[in-house]
Amino acid sequence: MSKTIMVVDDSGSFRTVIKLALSKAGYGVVEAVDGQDAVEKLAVHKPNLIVCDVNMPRMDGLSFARHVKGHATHRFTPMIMLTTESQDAKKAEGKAAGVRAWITKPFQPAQLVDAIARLCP
Amino acid sequence: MTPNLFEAVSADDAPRATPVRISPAGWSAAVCAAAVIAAGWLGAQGWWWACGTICLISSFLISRLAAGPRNGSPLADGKASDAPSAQTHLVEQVVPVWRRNMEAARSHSERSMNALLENFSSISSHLDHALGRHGDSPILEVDAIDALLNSNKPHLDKLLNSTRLAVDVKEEMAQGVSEMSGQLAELVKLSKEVQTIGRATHLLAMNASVEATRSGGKSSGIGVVALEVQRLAAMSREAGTQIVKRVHTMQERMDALKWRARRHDTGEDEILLQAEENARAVMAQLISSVADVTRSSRSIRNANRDVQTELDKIFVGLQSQDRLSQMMASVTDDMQRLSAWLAGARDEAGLSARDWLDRLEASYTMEELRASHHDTVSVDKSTGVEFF
Repeated sequence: MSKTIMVVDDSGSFRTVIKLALSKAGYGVVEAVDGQDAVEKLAVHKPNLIVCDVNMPRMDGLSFARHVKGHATHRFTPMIMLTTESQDAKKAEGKAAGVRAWITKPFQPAQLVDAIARLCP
Repeated sequence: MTPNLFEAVSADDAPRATPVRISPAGWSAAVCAAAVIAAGWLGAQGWWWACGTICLISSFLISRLAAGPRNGSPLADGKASDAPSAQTHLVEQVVPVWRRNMEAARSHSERSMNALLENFSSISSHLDHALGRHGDSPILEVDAIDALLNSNKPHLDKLLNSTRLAVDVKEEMAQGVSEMSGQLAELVKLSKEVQTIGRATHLLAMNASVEATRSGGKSSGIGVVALEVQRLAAMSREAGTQIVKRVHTMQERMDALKWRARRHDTGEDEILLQAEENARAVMAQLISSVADVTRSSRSIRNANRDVQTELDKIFVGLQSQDRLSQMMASVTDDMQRLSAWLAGARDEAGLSARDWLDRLEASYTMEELRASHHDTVSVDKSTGVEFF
């Protein structure tokens, strides 16, 4: 059974790129348009890994990461931040929130697939 | 009342703690400079139409600045006291329009990019579907035929079993013919003996007949027996002759069969070798054809890999859309704040250009924006994956 990756990004084009790359690599994909949407979808889905943007409306990625780490069911789900943010302070914030990897956009689809394979073998 | 920055004179020289007040021309110049930087960045990214939109706005501002106060404007008329409110009114009217135009441009570009991405995704999916998801089926090389045949020897042996069986039957039949030939020779010998017996019996009958004549004529008992023996001897000779004739015919046919068999006679090993060679030749031809097909498939797969590589590059390029959206969002959000502030909304940053710019900078998410904000060159940080 294929693993499921939750992709949280307010950019439809990014979700499309990521979904294509992950589908080709054999993963199932659940999409969410922002942190709040992702929180609601986590009530229904149990992804094996979460790929999340940082800057999003309603609930940003770091807040969402903190929510996930405090969640009884999903606290051990690995998270990758995929963002234009490259400031060390933001990365440190992500690390403190339990994020396992940080990819700065623009990214090569293969980079993301490799990172997922490493965190979710 | 909200402090009016249009009463300000200088932004650069003001100390940090002192609110800086900017003239309307200063605001226009600042917005203009930001627009020029944005246009430059967008042009460098290849977003020429978005760049064009911003250039239009920039050129409008530059022309306004270059022309100075126009005839009929409050400043031109020397109504200095009315100028700030007139300028404020103008900016209040114009900035929201700019903001909406930029938002429309951003939205349009995002829709276009999404459509493009969908198309590229569709192309990629179709390629994958046509060539199989993984495209890593084995390629058969002609050099590998021998190895393939050896690895499939049990199957080949199964194919050759029927040939071996036919060879065995042939050998058995040849053996049977040979034995029958020997038995026929025996029959010839026996039939010659029958002929010999017949001749001897005939002589005996002749002698008996002579003796019968000498002893009293043909009507005597001995004469009758002699005649009867003579007749039996004749029949016996005739039967022997017929048997010899038939056996000769059979022998001739048998010899012809043996000759034919000898003429086409090849050893069992040779037949099996020939059969195996034929099987190998057929299989080699088949495998060679399959190898040709798989080589073509490999070429197509390589082409697909190249296309996928190019698509990946396109995907990376298309990610500029997100950066463009964020950049335009920063500008439009700031325009929104400016409009609100001009309309009288309370905004602490309105007291100082530096505070305003600091807040604008804090909203940036990309190094390029921070660099262009300070008119410096951004350091190209690695976009690799950082694991924690």
